[in-house]
Amino acid sequence: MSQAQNPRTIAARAIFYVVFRGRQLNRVLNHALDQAKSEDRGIVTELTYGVVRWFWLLEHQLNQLLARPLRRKDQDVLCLLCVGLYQLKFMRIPQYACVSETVDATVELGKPWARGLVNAVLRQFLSCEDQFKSNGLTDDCRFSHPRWIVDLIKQEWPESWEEILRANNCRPKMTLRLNMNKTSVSEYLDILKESQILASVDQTSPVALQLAKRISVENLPGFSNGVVSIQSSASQLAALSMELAPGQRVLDACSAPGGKLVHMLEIEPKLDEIFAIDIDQARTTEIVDNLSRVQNDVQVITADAARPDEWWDGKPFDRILVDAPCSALGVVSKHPDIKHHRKPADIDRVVEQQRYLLEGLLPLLNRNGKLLYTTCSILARENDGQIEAVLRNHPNISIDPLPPSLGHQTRFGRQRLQDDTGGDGFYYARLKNQ
Amino acid sequence: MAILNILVYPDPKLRRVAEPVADFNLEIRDIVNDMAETMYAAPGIGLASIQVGIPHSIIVIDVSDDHNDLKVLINPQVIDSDGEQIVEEGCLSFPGYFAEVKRAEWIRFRAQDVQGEPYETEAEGLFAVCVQHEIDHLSGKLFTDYLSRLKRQRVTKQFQKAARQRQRDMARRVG
Repeated sequence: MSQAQNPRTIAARAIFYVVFRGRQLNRVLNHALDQAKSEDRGIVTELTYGVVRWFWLLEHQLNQLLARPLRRKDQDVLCLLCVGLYQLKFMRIPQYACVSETVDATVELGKPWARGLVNAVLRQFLSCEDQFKSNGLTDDCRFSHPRWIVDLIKQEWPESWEEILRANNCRPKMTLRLNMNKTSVSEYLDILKESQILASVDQTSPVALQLAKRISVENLPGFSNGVVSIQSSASQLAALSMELAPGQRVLDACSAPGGKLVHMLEIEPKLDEIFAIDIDQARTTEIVDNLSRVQNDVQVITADAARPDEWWDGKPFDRILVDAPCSALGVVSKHPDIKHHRKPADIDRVVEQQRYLLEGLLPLLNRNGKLLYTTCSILARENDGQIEAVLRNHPNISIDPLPPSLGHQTRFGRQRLQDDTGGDGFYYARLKNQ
Repeated sequence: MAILNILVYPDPKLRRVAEPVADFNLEIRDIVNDMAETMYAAPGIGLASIQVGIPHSIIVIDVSDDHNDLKVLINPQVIDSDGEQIVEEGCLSFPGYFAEVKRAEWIRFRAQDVQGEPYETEAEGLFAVCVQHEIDHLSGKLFTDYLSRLKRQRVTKQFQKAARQRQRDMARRVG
């Protein structure tokens, strides 16, 4: 038998697994939501995402409130204190309810001794709240990021680092991509209106709509038959920049989970042949899953795309999309656990992978063929840096300019920075084989 | 020790009836340890062997706040009951679903411990609810069987749909 748990206990436990055990936020949350009543799912999600986002700030302020630091084995109590503080600082819940519910949550956490502690810490915060306004905080606490990421972004973006860090902490909006073969922006807006779902036109992508509130996909009209998909507008611009035409042979080199692949099929149903590759078997099944919503005959292959001898039939491609593995520092608001899990060495590793992919795939390009390179990163090493190396090593390759709607011009491509409406940070560069 | 896989409704194995434990050997001790670990990890306050696909009459329960009062019920039997209480129950075989069920407020039951030593004791409140819930599992009965027809149909459909989805995912992974 089980009992529905206090949403604060569930959130604290989930946060513990993400922050102190290195587990992936969306997986942990999926499991955690099974312990909540359906009406508590919203608050569990909000608390978990919120604390994972603001962890550095919350932890810093708690350390000032605690007489001595908590023991290692009580890191779950620290997570619960963060949940309490997050509610008081960021949510509109009556204060007495926050405190008493958080105090009660200690019992289900299996730490009933911490009742007094949680009560004292939260009440002390309320009694001297003014001292805890953000003045005098270091940047890593104020913007709630690990120090090395703050330093890195300051160095890369000396003028916009504050906006970037602030955008990383916003709650992302939910963005839809409409299938233009099945509906239009104005028609789908009407359908949403009938279902009483609030939406607005997106400024970035011509086929996107933004929802005012997140909803479950089952409640989205036309989701199951491919009228509409969930995809950020920055990602939508990738397939839209492929210059697809009937009869082309196309390669999607790092395809999983297949969002951009499905979009390409929607844009140009008369492609000749299309290959979708991913290195991870578990993830290629996600591609198949995504494709099940559209008519297609895509060849889905699990392989290392950069080693064509393992999978390539020798016929060159007219279009190649390389949506490269990256640091993902442009999509932190959607995946705030990146801030906890990313390590400096990971960046060297993805830079190496990106170079290897580009070098392996460029020879597969047809004469006059084009390769679109994208990342959800905002670091020059992963973006212009890679393209610069390609141009140096391959005299036959040149830059094919992209329109200003994709972002601001960099030396070789276009860069978007994340913004406070939840737009992703994204990089695009298009290469052409003469 | 190991965490066991908990069967999820509508797995037909949840409707099996448990055999009494006759031989209290080391294997039974291992099963009890694994079941306790599985229950604490879930987290749950009670687990019946049927839920982890083991066809013997074994139950573990811990309704304490500190999670340090494990009770082991082997071959349990309710011998007396009294009163009524309504508690919102959930079940590890119905993840994410909770509903109110009416049960006896007080019970007296007989069981054996992990060494096979028989004992008889009373339970009330949440402990009594949990014992009744778990003993039901041993005869293939589920807490949703007590719900109104409408509620039961709704939860049945919801879990059947989720199971079909899981099966499709599995087929893709293999194919």
